[in-house]
Amino acid sequence: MSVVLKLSLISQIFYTEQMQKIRIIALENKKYGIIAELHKMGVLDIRKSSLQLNDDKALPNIQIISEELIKIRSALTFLDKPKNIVEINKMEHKSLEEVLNLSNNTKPLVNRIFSLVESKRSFLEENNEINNNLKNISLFIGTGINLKKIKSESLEFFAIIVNNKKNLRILHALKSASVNYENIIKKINKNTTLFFIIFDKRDKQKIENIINNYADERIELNDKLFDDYPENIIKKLNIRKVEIKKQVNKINNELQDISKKEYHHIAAILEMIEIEYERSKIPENFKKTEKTFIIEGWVPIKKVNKLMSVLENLTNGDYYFEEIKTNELAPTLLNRPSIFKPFDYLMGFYSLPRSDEIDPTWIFIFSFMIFYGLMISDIGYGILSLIIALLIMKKVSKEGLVYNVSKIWALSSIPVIIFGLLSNQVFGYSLSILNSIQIINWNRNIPSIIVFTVLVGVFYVILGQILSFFNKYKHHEKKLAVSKLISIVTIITGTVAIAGFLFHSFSIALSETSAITALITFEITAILSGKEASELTNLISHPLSFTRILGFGLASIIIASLIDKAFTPTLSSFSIVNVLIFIVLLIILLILHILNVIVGMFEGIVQGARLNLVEFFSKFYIGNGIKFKPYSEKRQYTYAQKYNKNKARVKK
Amino acid sequence: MTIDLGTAIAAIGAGIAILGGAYGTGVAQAAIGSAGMGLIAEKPEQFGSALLLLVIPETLVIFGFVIAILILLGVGLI
Repeated sequence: MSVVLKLSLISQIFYTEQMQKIRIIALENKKYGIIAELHKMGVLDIRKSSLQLNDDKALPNIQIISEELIKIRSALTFLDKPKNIVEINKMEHKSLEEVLNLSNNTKPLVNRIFSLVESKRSFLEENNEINNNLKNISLFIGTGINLKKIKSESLEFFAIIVNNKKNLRILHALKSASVNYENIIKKINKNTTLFFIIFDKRDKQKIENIINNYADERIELNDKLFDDYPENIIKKLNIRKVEIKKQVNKINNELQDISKKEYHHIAAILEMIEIEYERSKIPENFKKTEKTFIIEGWVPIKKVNKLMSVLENLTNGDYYFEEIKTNELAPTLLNRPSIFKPFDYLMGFYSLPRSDEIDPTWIFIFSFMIFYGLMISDIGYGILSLIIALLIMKKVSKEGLVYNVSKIWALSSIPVIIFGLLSNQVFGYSLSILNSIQIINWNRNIPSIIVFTVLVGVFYVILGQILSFFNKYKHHEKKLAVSKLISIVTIITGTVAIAGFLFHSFSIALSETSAITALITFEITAILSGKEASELTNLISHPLSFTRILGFGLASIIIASLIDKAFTPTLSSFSIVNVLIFIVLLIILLILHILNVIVGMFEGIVQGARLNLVEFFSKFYIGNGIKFKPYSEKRQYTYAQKYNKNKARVKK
Repeated sequence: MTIDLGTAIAAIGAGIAILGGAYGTGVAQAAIGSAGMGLIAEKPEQFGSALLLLVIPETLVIFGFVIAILILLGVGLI
């Protein structure tokens, strides 16, 4: 029994959630109830059935729901989410009828929102038009032009802006054209002049030709607006602008008031409508017969019984449940404690594990934290990186790259502190009280550390080959599986030979025997590997790649020591200048250490992930798993009506 | 501290080992980095893959580093 338990535990750690493909057949009149309950449970990844039957359709009320959805969703976009609300009074999601009733009751409010938004849009449009008119009319200040007085049946006018260099030419052209005109000229700036030309309508064509030749810009004047002297019009327009501003402010205030009072209520209704919409649409993935419908999908094996119990209760036993035997690849569901979820995010850099292969995430988590800790290994830096990570986590949203990476930094600061203790490093300093527990000396034990990192690399490459053996064996690639096992002999004997010849760690006889064995097993591995033989050179390069742990660790510690040497403040005597210098040096010291920590945090995460994903995973990992996407509802403002379990009975 | 000519040449050799690795890494990362930026611009979800590809050539400078350490160990400088 205990062996079974242990195996089950190993399976839970090294394999993703076990999945079962199922088929449910039930009566048409139970469809909505079953859909709603599946939606609430969120355990079934619904897939289109391969049965040769007719496709089912969306529920008939989808049109009404869709219209309500668009209406409420667009109304909500015009409201601001209230800030500093600690508790939301959640609404109970009872039935579709009630949701539609609630939506209908909000009609006056929604219409009011739309009407306010429409008024605001119209005011803002008017304001833009006024701004354009103001820009044009301000050109005429001081000209004394009043279009109301000029306007007549026989006269017309043009206003143009011309480069100063063309002034004489345009005047000459007007004179030479023998037309009746009057013009008012106003210098706008150093380079341009405004020409306002009043002319007889009969000469319009001639004037227009001249203007087309010389005008740099033609000003379109709204003659309905231009019914007074420019100064008076500007005054009137500015008064109107103030009125518009007041109106817009009033509208904004009312919208803010609605947001404050009604945002959560409308958001709750929207949430319920969205859920109802998803429920109405999902049957498009079903198949149907005259009186029944068929659902197929993947469910975690441990949820099968619960699912059957719910179906039993809903249908009073009138349903058919089938566990489908298939070679199809099951979706991947990673089921880890939430504290380690960010590592799944980092794993996503590579790809999701397939459901039928070893899930190496736990090894990844363990080794990543060790590599990260070794690369920074400083108690002070560990504490500082923890503070930085927690500060970032407080500032950013809980979803996304930055939050997840910060959580990894926060967790990984623990090994940084542990390795800091073991290497006696506090902001680049060594403390005498920690001498007794110091086992790593980065400055003096470089040869030992380089050998240690290579051995870590050898260990990971061997572990990768072992996991690859299991993967290949499981996928019935026995020849390749054997080659993986033989390659382990190559790695071990090769390492002994190199250590013996280069560092004289072993006797000549053992070194020579190991070298010969390594060469023979390498040949056998190459023959058995077939196409994968080209990757065998990685068996040598990948362990060496682990020396980067020493490289980055050493760099971080040397930089910390240099910062200390250059900027550690000392206070020889208490004078104002000395105290000021002390404070400034202390600030510089702190800033430089923070920068070194930030560089270390980025390098640590990139190199730690890289050693796992490139050097380790490439040995065995297949990846490209299909993510388990259960049909589930997401609620923030509402809660689902409680499901009555009293009648639940299990029958298979 | 005085060192003989052989040790000095070995130290220069260690420097060259790092230099060669760093140069190779730089050239490779320049090409991968620009291609990666193009990839992220079109598919932001591929950020992880781009980052991973970018750090792969760093192995070259690590090899240079290992060789340099071995040289310096050989001549007793560290």
